[in-house]
Amino acid sequence: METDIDLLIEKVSQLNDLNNLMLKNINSGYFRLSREIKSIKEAVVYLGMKTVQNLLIIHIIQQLFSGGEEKRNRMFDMKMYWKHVLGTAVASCLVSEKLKKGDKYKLFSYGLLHDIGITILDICLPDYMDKVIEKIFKGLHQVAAERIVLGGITHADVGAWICRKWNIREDIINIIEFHHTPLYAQSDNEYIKMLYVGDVISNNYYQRLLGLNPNYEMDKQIAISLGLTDEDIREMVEEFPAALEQAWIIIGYCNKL
Amino acid sequence: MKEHKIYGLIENSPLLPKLPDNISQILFYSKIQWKQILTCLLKKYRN
Repeated sequence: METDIDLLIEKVSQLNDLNNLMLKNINSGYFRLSREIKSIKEAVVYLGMKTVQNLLIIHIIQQLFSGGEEKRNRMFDMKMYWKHVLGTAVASCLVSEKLKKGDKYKLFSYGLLHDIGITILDICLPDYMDKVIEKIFKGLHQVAAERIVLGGITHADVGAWICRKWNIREDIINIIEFHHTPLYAQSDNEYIKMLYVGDVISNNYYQRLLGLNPNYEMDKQIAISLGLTDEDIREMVEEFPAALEQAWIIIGYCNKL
Repeated sequence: MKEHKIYGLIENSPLLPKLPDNISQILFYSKIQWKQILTCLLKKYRN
């Protein structure tokens, strides 16, 4: 295992752009590290192998998916989507901090990956995606809108399907597949539930910004099973905009998209 | 079981990035596949 980690470090370090992008983001301030991380090796030691791998994957996916043609008259707003993705990462960290449970760095990286199915749908089937958005604007829940337009499946199914095809790590597939239905997950349950709560907080925030009436009710059973009270959730909802603003400024995440 | 038609549409979309089958190995620890992935990534980043 150690040799393999060394190989990962060595190979990523050889890819200057990827290496620099990773270090820039890790040192952006968001992770509140006590000192500057100067190499991928230090990042692995500090953040853990899985988190570094997750961050690598999201950078690679962004690179691979950023070359699409200019969208014309689209209902779907990709920039808003990436804001929501960052929002879910930030809100999931708040959940982890509130509960003093889990690895918040790992949760942050899961948050960045959880909606990859939407990226795939937007790139490959933009007309379908626009029809979904039309229905959301008419007041339908995203999952219900997708089931109608896509014939019974959702972005979570699409994301899990593509990740299986790509042989991506099972915990990531679980997060992606069950982030709207955590009670169906067979493993990684705590992380999926924490991400679910973060996703609901982020979704409701952005729906309000879009002038929509948010209809993402949080499943009380899931919140209770995590040990979250109504007061905890209210506090996180209040803390969220400032935490997101901070992450937004520090990371400048969407500016490069 | 027959695959959902949406998956077929995605697979046939010319816009789906042609990832190497083993990109996932970024998440695992196999040296051989790592070399293939990184060769692919190297090309992508250099272009």
